[in-house]
Amino acid sequence: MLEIRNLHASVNGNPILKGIHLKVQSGEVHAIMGPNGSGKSTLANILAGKDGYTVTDGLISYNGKNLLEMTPEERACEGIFLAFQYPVEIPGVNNTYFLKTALNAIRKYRGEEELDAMDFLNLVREKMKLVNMDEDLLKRPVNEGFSGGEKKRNEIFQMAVLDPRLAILDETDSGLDIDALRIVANGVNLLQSEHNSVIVVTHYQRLLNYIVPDYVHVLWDGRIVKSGGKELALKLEEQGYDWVKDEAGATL
Amino acid sequence: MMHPKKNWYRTQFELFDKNLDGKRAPEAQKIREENRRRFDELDFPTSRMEEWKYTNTQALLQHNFAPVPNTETVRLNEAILQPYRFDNNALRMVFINGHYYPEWSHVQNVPRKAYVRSLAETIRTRPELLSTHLNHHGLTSENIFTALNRSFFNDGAVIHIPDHVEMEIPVHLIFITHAPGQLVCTHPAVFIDAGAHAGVSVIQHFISADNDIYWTNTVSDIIAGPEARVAFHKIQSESAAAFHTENRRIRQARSSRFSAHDYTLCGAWTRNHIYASLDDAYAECSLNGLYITRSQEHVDNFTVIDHAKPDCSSRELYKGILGDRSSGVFNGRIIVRKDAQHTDAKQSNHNLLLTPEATINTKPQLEIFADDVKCTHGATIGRLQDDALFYLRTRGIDERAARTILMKAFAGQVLDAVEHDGLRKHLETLVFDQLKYA
Repeated sequence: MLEIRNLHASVNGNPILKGIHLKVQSGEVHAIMGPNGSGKSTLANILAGKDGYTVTDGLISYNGKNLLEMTPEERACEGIFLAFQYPVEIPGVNNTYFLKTALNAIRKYRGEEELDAMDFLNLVREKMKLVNMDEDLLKRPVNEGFSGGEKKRNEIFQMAVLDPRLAILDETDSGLDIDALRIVANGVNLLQSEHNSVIVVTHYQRLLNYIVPDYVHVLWDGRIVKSGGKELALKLEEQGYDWVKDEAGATL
Repeated sequence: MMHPKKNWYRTQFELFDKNLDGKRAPEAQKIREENRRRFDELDFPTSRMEEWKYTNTQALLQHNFAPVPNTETVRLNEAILQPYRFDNNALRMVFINGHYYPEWSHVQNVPRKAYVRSLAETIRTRPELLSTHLNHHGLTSENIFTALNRSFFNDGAVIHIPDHVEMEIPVHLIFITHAPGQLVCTHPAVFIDAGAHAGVSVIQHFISADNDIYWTNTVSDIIAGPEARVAFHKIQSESAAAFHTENRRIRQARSSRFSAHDYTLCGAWTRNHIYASLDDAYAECSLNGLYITRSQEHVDNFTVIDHAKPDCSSRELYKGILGDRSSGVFNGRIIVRKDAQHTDAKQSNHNLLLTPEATINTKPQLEIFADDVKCTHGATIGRLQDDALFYLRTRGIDERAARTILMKAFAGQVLDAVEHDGLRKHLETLVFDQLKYA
């Protein structure tokens, strides 16, 4: 589904990613862990198509297409979804209107019929249950005045409605208490199937107690320096990142 | 030195009088004569004047504009009105090239005792009705554009709502200018007098059929009596080559409520001058404005709210979306006089610049002479938020649609202030259409 080869990227001339290799197949859950400043969010943003990053080398192929040549909206229509670390507040734009516009844009791209108000509402009601979201939030402007937990839930709710092939969760656990964390993780798990994949970007291991990864990768200084199974996350939780850095330092 | 254009207009006064034939009612002629004298004394503004610093009148004064005597040569289809209908029950007065056009108007359903008639008819049959306005607003003006309007005093709308009459149906005024290649100027005069406890809502559209160069120079005199409620709307969808000047004067009595809703959507060069005088306690004034400019359009909103007496409140919200190489000016003057204790005044002006070449000059001007008042103001100039655009795009919404969504959201706050549901929806359509080009 997704293949990243030797990805190098910089911001304002400062190299951040220095040769990332990653392969994600349908149905897989990958966790990308690493200390602050290792390049985790940069990777997530580049996958979603954010401006301000210069890819200096390497390529990203998504279902056989060159992802780097696609606009953010094309990526979304092709099934990529980024759950933001800091979801943006958009005053004056009603949450329902926003989501309906988004869903119908994606459906149109896929050659599907646009949903009318009634069908949309039914879909939305069903998906809200997945994340225990209050229907009131639908009537409010996008994320405006939402608590941290509500914002994160709204991200997963949008993901549920838009039904992506590849979901990238950027630090979705940050700022969540344990109950909210469980709800959010539960929502992700319910959406997970053999047809779609998830990349969980996180600093801490605790989200991975709920969203169990098939693979764990450690990002350090712009490279994936170690990959393993879910047990790697537990070891990082116990021992921190230093031993990985030492190992990496020895081989580089 | 005398501006050469003054001679041009003097010649036009003579032509105008000739065309009046026998319709030279003495009351109206007196107004014209007084104002022509005033016109002689006053100068056209220049950018050396503080109040005109960012708006150059040269563009307006380079043309030889002239009024047209009647609507005989007009070839238009009534379908031109169709996009501007918002309420089938509204009383409608249509003006073409400054002249009342009864064929397309219908004012049959005027409630008993209310008076909704053209100025031309009023001059002919009820000239005494104008005296209230002259008492309140004066016969002449310090403003040369008002003096010019009054020098051609002839047609417009007169709306008098007697005490305790609440007009359920809005009054809709549509001004069409259409005289290709003729450099027409029109000088509509609108008079609104709402008595004690009276209520009325007036909607004005300024439209054109082509991209002609012409000049609309309108003057509106509004009186809101004690406890009266007046809502006044102006939608400028003029030709992209049109000039538009307005001088609006509002006098508010005790506990009256006045609201203005100004939508400047199309026109080459616009100067709106609003002066609201809160003459007695507990009056409420709210001014809402939205200007959307593109190509090289210029819009100058000059507003004055004069708090003369205590316990009044004013709310002013102007928003602008400026694209291409267009320019805007907002000047919001709020005067709080010595007697006007407990004044509550709030002013905001927010602007979105869509290109690096678009400009806005915004200037709040608070003059406070009372000590126990609450006055706030705020002005912002910004661009569409990159992070909000990106967020929308990551959800599958293309860039153009995402920009439109954000611009609509920005304009929404102004539209929300319109009370009439049908009118608000109509305005949303006009505004959103305009944003498609932004």
